[in-house]
Amino acid sequence: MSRQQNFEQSREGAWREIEELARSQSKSPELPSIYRRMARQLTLARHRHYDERLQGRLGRMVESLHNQFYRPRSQFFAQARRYLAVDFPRAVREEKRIVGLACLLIFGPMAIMTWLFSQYPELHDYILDSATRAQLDESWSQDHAQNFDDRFVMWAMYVKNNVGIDFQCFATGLLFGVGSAFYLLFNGIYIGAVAGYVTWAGNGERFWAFVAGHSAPELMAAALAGAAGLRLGMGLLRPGQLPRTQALRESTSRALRLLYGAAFMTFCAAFVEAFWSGFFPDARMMKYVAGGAMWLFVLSYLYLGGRRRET
Amino acid sequence: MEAAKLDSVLAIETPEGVDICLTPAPVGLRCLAWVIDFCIKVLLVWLLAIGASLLAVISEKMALAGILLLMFFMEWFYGAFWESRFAATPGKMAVGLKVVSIRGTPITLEQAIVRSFLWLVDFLPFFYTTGLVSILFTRGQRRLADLAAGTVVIMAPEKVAKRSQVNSQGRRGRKQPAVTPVPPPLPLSPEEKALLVSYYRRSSRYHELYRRELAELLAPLHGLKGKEADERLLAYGAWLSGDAQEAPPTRVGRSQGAN
Repeated sequence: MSRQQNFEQSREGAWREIEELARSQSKSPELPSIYRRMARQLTLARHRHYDERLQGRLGRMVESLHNQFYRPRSQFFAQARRYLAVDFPRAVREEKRIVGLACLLIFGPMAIMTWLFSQYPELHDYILDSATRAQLDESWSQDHAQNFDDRFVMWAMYVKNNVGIDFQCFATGLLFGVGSAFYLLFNGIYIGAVAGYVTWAGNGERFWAFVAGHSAPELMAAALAGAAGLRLGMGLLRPGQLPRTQALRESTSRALRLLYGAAFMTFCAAFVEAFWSGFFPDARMMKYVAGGAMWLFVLSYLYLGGRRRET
Repeated sequence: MEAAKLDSVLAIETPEGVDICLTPAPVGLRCLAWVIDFCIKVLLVWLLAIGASLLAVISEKMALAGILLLMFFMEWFYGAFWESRFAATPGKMAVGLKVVSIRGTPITLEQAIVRSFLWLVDFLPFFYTTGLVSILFTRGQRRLADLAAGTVVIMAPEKVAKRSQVNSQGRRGRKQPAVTPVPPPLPLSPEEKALLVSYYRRSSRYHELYRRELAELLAPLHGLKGKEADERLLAYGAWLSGDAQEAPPTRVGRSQGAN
């Protein structure tokens, strides 16, 4: 009888039990010692060049035991609460340079375009064609539908589109940040153009009262999603002391800390936009005040949140 | 591992000093898994639409809102949902693939999320061109999202075992020549052994004449020509692979135990 057959036959019974144990994923107190024993046997089998079938079988046993120990565990809700209360605002402050850059890229063009388009109608053709302008005229010359069903569809629409845009803006950051920068600029320019045009066309009051409420969470979230994308690209552009693949992985988890919050803010903004912004179209002052309060809240949340608790 | 030098196998070293071997998923299987997943997604959205219109318990508008939300979920969270729980989407399960972290451990929620959020970059500029290029040029055949998440898509270990057995038993229309295992005349290095085993495993894919040509190159080992050279190499491979031990009916119970 060969050495290998000897090796196999003397252990066959034990292996059957271990395979059963590995399959049932049960937590036996013996598990650590079984795992170490199997690792030793596998090493031995490889060292002695026992045949491929045996090595494969032992390898599979070791792999499934290995994964019972080295398994990252997670507690979703506790983490989510802590994230919103502490980690997210902290992450924003930690990345303040990138967040600042993202804000500049989106709010700069937005402000400039709003001003230009409200003052100089000859520029309108460059960005908004006549069909788009007609559509804007039509939708902003009347109040929004106010029945619940319509607003609910709009809510779903806002979630799908706006959160989707956040993710898009983030994902394209993997192209050395170029995609995110593009989306930030593009959104800034386009939103500014629409705002400027609608104001110029005389529907400004209705427009500004509508957007005031949700502007803070939505625009800040767009900027933060862009910042997350820039963060991602930065891992490739400036890896520092790390190899690029590893730098990318680290900046990905840092970027995600911005992105989750941004997506959550956009999700909240969709509620405001669907169930607040469209209602009470005549109470303009109230809408402006609420919008201002929103800005104050969002900015102070990002600036002050998570400063107290030390861990 | 020896096979790692010949094949695209990834060897992961554990703290206990043994290597775990991961077989990266072939592109074809990944595409197939993608197609299955795509069909499932379309089907689910379609079923919701039909269901909502048939039942008519909720208003048309509510149904529309539900469809929009489901589309949003399918676009960004489908992969994250399945992979964080089961390490594979239904499509991947169907073809026997699995996503693991590059250390060989099960993937975390965060890794699953990164993989599913970054699909867009792999999709660019059209139909997964970037992802395909990345798969072809990285070790472990990883798309960009895999690189960012630190994951790799592998053949599920059970599948690998089944596949090598299916091949050696000559099912799926590929007839494995019946050979009597013969031990090689000389002690061989691990690389050489791996080479002979893979010659034996893959023999059914190559034409006999081509195999003879290859086998004759190893004349110093066996000193034979033509058909005999090929058969002798297969016999060595069969002996080294250990499959042949399972062939006699008396040992059938054991071969089942190996799975």
